[in-house]
Amino acid sequence: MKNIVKFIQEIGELKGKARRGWVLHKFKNPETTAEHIFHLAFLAWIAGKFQNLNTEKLIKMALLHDICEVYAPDLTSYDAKGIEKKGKITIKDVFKIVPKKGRPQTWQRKKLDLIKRKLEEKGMKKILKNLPPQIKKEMELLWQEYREQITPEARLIKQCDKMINLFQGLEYWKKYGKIEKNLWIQRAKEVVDNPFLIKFLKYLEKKYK
Amino acid sequence: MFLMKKKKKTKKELEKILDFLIEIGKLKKIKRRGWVMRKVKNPESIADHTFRTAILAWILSSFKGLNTNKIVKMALVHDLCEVEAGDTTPYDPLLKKIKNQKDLEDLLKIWPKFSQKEKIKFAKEKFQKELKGLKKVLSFLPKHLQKEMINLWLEYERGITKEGRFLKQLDRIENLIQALEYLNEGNKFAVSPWWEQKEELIDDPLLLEFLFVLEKKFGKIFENYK
Repeated sequence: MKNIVKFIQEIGELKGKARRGWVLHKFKNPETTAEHIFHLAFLAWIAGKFQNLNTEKLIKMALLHDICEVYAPDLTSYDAKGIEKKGKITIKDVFKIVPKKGRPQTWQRKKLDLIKRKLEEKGMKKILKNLPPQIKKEMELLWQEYREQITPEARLIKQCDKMINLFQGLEYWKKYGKIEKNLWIQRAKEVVDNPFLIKFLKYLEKKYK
Repeated sequence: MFLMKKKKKTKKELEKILDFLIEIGKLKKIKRRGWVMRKVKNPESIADHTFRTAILAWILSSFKGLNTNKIVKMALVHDLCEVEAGDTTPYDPLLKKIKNQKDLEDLLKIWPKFSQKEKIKFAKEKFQKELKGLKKVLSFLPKHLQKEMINLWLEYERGITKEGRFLKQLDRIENLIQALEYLNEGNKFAVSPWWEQKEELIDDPLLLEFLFVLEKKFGKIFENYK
């Protein structure tokens, strides 16, 4: 029971953790990771229902998908853009990156993804470490499924994540400007192939003209 | 002709889903009133609270052999009505009499007590207001989703299922944990209302054990802020 209390307190940190993408834009009172997860869970629930997928699994996966961020840094594509030299980078190097606006090149993105993945695996291991075995197993399996993108639910969550982030970005764009809107939409178009979300994306594009 | 109609329908559906997301997105902005009244700096939003309640419910309900899938969904829905109905606190019926900050601080030192008659009356009013609010928020969604979400909320609010009753208690526990964390960070307010509330609301053996661990962990705070 002690370990559960500890876990609940650890994930509580996500209630106070402002999402890095918005912090880099210097928005006032940006959303927290917990708030992002809340929003995503609902989009996933709705999108899953429209496509007859397992909404329970989707919701649980959404709840888990970012909890590694209690311990892993919330790295964005602006961080990727800030990577300067080719060749290997270490975890230490990641913390020295100065983020830059604009679209990262493929090699930059790949490089960041590799290290980001490692940090997230480590973070997830750490946060789940002391949970009772049964619940730990359930969470690990769902997380792995998400990471490996092997099921329709895992792929939908990944794309919903992109989409809800775009939606929040567009809302901020409406309010403050500053967001490179067209770049964001372009990027989402490249990632999204789910028919429901493609329609949703088209609609978003029109709505935030 | 048929195709045109279909296209129009899809567009309308998407428009409504977007409206729904905008509506519930407001819960990311609305700070929980209990903390605002207690002058906590940068307090959590309703969405923040919902997130942790969902995870807490998932874990603890698994030990009870309850339906974790259902309770997680129920947790996500449990405060949705607050977009429209606002965040009602148990102190609200007494706020009319409050004239200044000092009065408010005194009021917040105790858990408000009402007669049985008053209790029923306030609960009824709250229920009606929140049901109306929830229906309004959900009105953007397709009928089958509306139905699913309203039924989950009713289960919770009326305590008609084990999951509903369990979540009702968990909601309070998440709130207590947050209170203890805020106190730990240096905020100052009385913790006794939560303790009195516990006596009234929490009877699940697993949760009593959970509270015992919390009490031990935050022992010092209890001593200082009772």
